[in-house]
Amino acid sequence: MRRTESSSKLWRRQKFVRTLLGKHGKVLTWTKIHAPIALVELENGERITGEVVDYQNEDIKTGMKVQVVLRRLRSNSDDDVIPYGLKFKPLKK
Amino acid sequence: MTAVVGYYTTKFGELWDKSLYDLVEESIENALKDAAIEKEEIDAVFFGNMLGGILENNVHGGAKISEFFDSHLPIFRLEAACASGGIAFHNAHNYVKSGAAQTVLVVGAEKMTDYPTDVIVSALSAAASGEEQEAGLTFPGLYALLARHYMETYNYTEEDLAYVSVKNHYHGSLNEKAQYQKEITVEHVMASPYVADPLKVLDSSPITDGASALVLSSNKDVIKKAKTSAKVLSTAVATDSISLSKRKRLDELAATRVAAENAFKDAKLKPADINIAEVHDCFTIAELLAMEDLGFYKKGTAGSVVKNYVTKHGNGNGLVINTSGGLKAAGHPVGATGIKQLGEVYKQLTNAASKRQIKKANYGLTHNVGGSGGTAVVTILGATE
Repeated sequence: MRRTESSSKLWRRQKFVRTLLGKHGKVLTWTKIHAPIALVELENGERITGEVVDYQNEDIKTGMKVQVVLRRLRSNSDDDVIPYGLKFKPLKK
Repeated sequence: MTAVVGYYTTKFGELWDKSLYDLVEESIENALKDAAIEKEEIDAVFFGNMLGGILENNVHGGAKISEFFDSHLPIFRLEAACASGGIAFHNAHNYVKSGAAQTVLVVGAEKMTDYPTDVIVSALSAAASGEEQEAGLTFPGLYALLARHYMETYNYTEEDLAYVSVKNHYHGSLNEKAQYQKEITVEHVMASPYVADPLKVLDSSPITDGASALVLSSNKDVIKKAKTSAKVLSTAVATDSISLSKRKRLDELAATRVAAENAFKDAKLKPADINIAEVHDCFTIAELLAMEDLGFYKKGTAGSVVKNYVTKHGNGNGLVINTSGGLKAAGHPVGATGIKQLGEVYKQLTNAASKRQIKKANYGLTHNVGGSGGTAVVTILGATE
């Protein structure tokens, strides 16, 4: 299927993305579709979903603490904008 | 009184020699035959379809169906992801009830096997929120999040989910229109590869082609002339946030709960009155949630109920769930599913379900879900005799 990337859509999304960078949260539930994806509750109660990166297999469990990081999401848009977005990194104990 | 007076479904499966509208035409033609009426007697058509626009660049299905009727009758295409069929029926029923028409045809159809799996999975994600799509969540992924939460909250294992699939495959073996007519075991489910951990291939409904159609009428003569009929007692739609992250609870689909409460209230019935239910088991976890959210079992208990096969055909006189094989074994052509569920209940209530006929069928319920619970349609039918 054609993915219709839009630079303005990516730009609009960045305004939201930057408000969450660096925040801490904990995993409420997760799945693994090649990579792990988690539903996370941030310390302010807000919930978001995203991929977990920089993990060891044994890290992934419900209740684990994570930090929101900025990572590339997929391949470039047609006009070569690199789509960045939110992912989670395990917080080391 | 509004009643279902005829029904037909195509075979569900990989139907490579048939297009979307070949399937639509086959189901319409035969549903009219089953209802013993001519196409000129149809006042309006409601068409449930999700993917035509995304996959085939073809959204104006109403006008396409007009070619078959060779007339200028009103035709509406309705979309609510995997609940497109259910929502088409709901609106058709309201249209008849309002007096805008007496006899309408409702058809649901989907053509899914023309494209590779990744294209279909991506097209189906159109029913998820932008944020979930951006996170890389597919529909198996969203239900996997719900499955893990349910398992961890109520202490169930992956094996506990597998029983749903075993039961529904047994029912599929009794349905000559089902995509899979083969029984499976818990071991088969457990040995199948992960799609989205903890959900495996055999926890998941397949990619399917198919179309189902029914005729709905308030016209006394049409109802009298029909071989068999079943009364529509109520139909209710409820919605919820599209994103799981915006839901208050992750151990239920609140849209199902609310739609069911309203449907039972309107029908003046309670869950214990229902003999047969077709529920939206797009994944095994979805049947467990439905059993609880529809009010049949207490929250957190469905996992132990399915292990004893209480809801399986032939096991006692209680509620039987998904005699068609459900989405799991009968197949899930998304727009058709909601109509097939109604058709299955209609067959059970009119004693026409052959090998899978249940003993006592006075009241039946259908439960059709769009997305991961963003839309739910619950309909209750009753036997006429």
